[in-house]
Amino acid sequence: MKAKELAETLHPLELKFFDAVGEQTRFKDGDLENIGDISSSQLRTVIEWQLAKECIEVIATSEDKWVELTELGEAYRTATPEQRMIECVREQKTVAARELAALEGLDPKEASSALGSLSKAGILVSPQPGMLALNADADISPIEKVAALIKKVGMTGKLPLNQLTDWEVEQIEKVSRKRGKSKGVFRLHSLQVRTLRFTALGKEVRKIAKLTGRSGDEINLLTPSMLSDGSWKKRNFRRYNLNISPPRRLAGRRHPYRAFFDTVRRKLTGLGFSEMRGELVESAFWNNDALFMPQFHSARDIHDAYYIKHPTSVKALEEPFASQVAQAHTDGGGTNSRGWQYTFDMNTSRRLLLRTQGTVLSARWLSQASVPGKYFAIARCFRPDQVDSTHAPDFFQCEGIVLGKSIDFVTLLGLLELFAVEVAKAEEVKFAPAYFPFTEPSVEVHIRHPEVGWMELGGAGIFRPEVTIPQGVDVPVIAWGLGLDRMAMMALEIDDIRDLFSSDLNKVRSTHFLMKD
Amino acid sequence: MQTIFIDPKDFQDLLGSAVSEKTLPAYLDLVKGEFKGTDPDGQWRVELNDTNRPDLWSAEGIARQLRAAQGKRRDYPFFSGAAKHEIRVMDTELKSIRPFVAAFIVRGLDINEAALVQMIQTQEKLAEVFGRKRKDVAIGIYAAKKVKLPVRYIAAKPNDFEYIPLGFDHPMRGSDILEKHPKGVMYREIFQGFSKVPLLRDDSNMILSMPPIINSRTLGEVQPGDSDLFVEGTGNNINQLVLALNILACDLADRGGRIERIKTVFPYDTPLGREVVLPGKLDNALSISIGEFVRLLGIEVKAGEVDSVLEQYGCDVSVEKETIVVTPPPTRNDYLHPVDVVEDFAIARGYQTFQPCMPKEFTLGKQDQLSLLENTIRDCMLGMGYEEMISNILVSKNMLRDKMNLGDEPMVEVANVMNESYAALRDSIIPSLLEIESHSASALYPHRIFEVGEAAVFDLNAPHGSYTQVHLSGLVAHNRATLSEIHADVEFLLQQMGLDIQLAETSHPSFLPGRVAKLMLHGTCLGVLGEIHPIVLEKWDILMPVLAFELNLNTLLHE
Repeated sequence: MKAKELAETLHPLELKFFDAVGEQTRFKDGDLENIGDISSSQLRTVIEWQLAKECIEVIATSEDKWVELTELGEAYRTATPEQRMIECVREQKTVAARELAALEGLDPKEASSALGSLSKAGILVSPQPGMLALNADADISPIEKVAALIKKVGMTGKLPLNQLTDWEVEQIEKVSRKRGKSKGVFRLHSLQVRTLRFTALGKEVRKIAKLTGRSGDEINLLTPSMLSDGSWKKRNFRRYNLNISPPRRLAGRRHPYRAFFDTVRRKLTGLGFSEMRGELVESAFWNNDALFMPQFHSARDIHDAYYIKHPTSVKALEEPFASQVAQAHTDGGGTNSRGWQYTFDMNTSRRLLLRTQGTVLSARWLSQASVPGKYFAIARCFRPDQVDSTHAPDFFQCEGIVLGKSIDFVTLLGLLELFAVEVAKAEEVKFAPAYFPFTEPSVEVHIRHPEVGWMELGGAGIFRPEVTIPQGVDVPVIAWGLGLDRMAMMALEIDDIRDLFSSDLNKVRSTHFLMKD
Repeated sequence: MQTIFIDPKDFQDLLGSAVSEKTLPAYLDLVKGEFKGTDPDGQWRVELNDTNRPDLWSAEGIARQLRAAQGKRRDYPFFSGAAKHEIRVMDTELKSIRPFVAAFIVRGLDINEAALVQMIQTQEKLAEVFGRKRKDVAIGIYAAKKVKLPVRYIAAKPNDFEYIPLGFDHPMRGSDILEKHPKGVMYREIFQGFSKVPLLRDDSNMILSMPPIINSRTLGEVQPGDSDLFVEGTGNNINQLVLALNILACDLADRGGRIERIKTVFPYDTPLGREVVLPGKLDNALSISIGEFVRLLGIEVKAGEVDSVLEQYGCDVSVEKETIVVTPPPTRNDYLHPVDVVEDFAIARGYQTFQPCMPKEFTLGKQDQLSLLENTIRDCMLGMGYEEMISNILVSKNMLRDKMNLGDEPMVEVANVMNESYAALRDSIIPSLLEIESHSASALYPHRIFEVGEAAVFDLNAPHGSYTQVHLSGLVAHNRATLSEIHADVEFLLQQMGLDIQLAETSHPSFLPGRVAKLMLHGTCLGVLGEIHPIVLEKWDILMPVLAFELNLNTLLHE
């Protein structure tokens, strides 16, 4: 089965490789070098593919050494400097050493080294100073042998060292170009050579490929010209290999966290909610006072909000809301509350800060909201916490309100159940008493999620009359908030909130949005 | 929200019935509490969410609430009857320094280790959290046998008295205690602007303490085995003070103590009169009609049910036709509005007893105009192959200015900076994208990234000193990136929206001169486009040419 599959998806180069190998079952890396019309780099690639597919295997490795001529060696193929000098002296009987050294085409260094070796071997003698003559008794065979060796190597191009005599190898090593030496006649090469053979699978694949008549001439790219001249009709198409990885694709892609928000927005608008938006910089009045958080409340400590450096305060608070809220704090105003019973300070309210909760938008929206009305906001908020795996410097809250004459506690529970099922895909819902300064009664929603088990979904309640009446709202108002970051972290399978805002492109690219709906 | 530790055995003794780790969480619904786990030393960790119920911030308090639900309410007879002793406030100056003082005596206590730990925890929570770092309320506890009553509350110059404070073994002048004692350093701010401090002296003229700084070691060191304690409280808010001492008195009574009342005589008026006896009842009753329960809860409720359910929540209820008067125990003072009573009723009845009901009224759902524009633009950017990013927007000032080769033009800065990395709101998104580029050299190129998000632009004409705007910024980085590439993208984007945009020459220190342009629409500047200056790239350690643009979507929406 596997052999058939492999045979069907062979690359044309692999088919050509099979042709080149012919009936051989074992071969070496270098054996196929000049076979067929495969280049050596293509051949190397094909062998790696075949090894990876386990069609061939390595049974031995050895080191191959061979020799070839350098450019200089090529120049010496007709005659070495020594031969040319001997020839010159033989013709002219005696020659000035200077004249020999200046023979045409000879490098002065080579010339002096050739002269040196000829003198040393006693082939050239000096009958008088500055002049050289041939010693008729001298043995010039070593010179001839070297020249013959150069010719021999030059003839074959690349000559394996194991086809040479020991003397020849010695000579070659003596005059070969070594690292760092600029000149030399021979260049020595060595290469790790693997002995390869077809595996049983490989033989099978080769057999099937042959039986099915695959040749490597199948069409790879269908071109417009093939279509216009109809030549495609006479040829076969190469099958696409389903098992190799395609090249990596870069594409426009929604950020997974934003995509999560898109889903939540869509669901909430589907449930009849309209969106609220607002300013990042808010007054303490809307952030806290309008939500009936007393100015002496421990959560209003300097350490619980980022205050603005300049300007520090809003010039004037919105009326009549400021006075009405102040009254509600002081003695309840017209809310039927006894209030917090303290002296309200407008300067504290005017202080500017980075909003700490999305509920600030609900507070601002109250006076302009429709009845009945449903509103939501996905709002960026800020709290001076130590930044760690559960605290980001800024984070998102999803909050909102529902206004209506028929709003009551059981409707609040119904709405939360709706969120649990529609927004969070909960299988089971549980309600628990909770505390928020601005709602009474208050409730916490816990859900059982099919994948992650029990988790807190959010908090909600009915706005206190001290919150709604100063804004001119005389119907009950549900205020709700959902823990979006926790839901997102679960949907995105990350456990560090900072990863929601990662500045590492690789990380963003590898984060996947898991929520199915 | 408060986290307290309770000893399981001690708690069960207080409750009079068995509770386990498994059964505790369900009970905690009654006190808006959450079980957070068991510590290695066996103590249960419990988080209490209601900041207006300090009576629940102790094992005694939680047990008291649960006992009521089990029909085992206990009587506290010491909220009436004559006071046996007196505290005399001597100086009218105290009215501005620290006006209120009150106390009681507890006798016959048998205090074990767990009880002592609870007492210290409660004292700490009441003073530090509820008493706002001892400003509104602070509590001192003394061995009663050493204190000779009556006690006088006086104002004195810190230089004019000395005593041995707790934690030291030699007498110190008042001024030295404020200077050198750790508690003096921590709390002396309370007396800022006053030349005198409050002092408690007993009838032998011995100093009890300089409240709320530190007790005298001579009188104020409670030893194991001390069965009789003198408990005093001082502060700036008399209602809070009375409540805190009531809570402590009930906690100690729950451990078998007999409480003796003490009367404080003031030379000035207080909201509770010139004579205040502690422990004392609070004016904490509220009347409410049955109709309120029906209206707020959405269920049928009868007066009889309200009566029995609230009794089980520790309240006294009297019914008169359709109006009921609810008096919570003297350890509570959190009824501001009838809705608070309704919630207590719902909690005591159990949230699980209510049948959820779907909202009935029809409303139309829609996204904000700006959000819709954001989506159109995001779709277009995605179609052009840009990858979407989302960044934090509270960043360092350096990132917005120096690293962008800009001067120190004003921006929205935080006054109380915790960490220089989070000191200002971004006024442009390009720095956020450069931040990503600087961390992403190993990510496969080309990089085409964008973000649509909020930025706050400093403007003293704005009511809040800045305008929150939505910007779009795109960035392209790869080794053959050119300005024409990003120019084509911006032009395509705006053409998709039917807008014909013009480029106008400009200069901008973040961009290469001659390779930057303003994006103009009908004479209004929408944003900027250009090649980031290598000076800027160097500051971010970016080794790739970068092109970027930014558009103000608020302006675009209005065009």
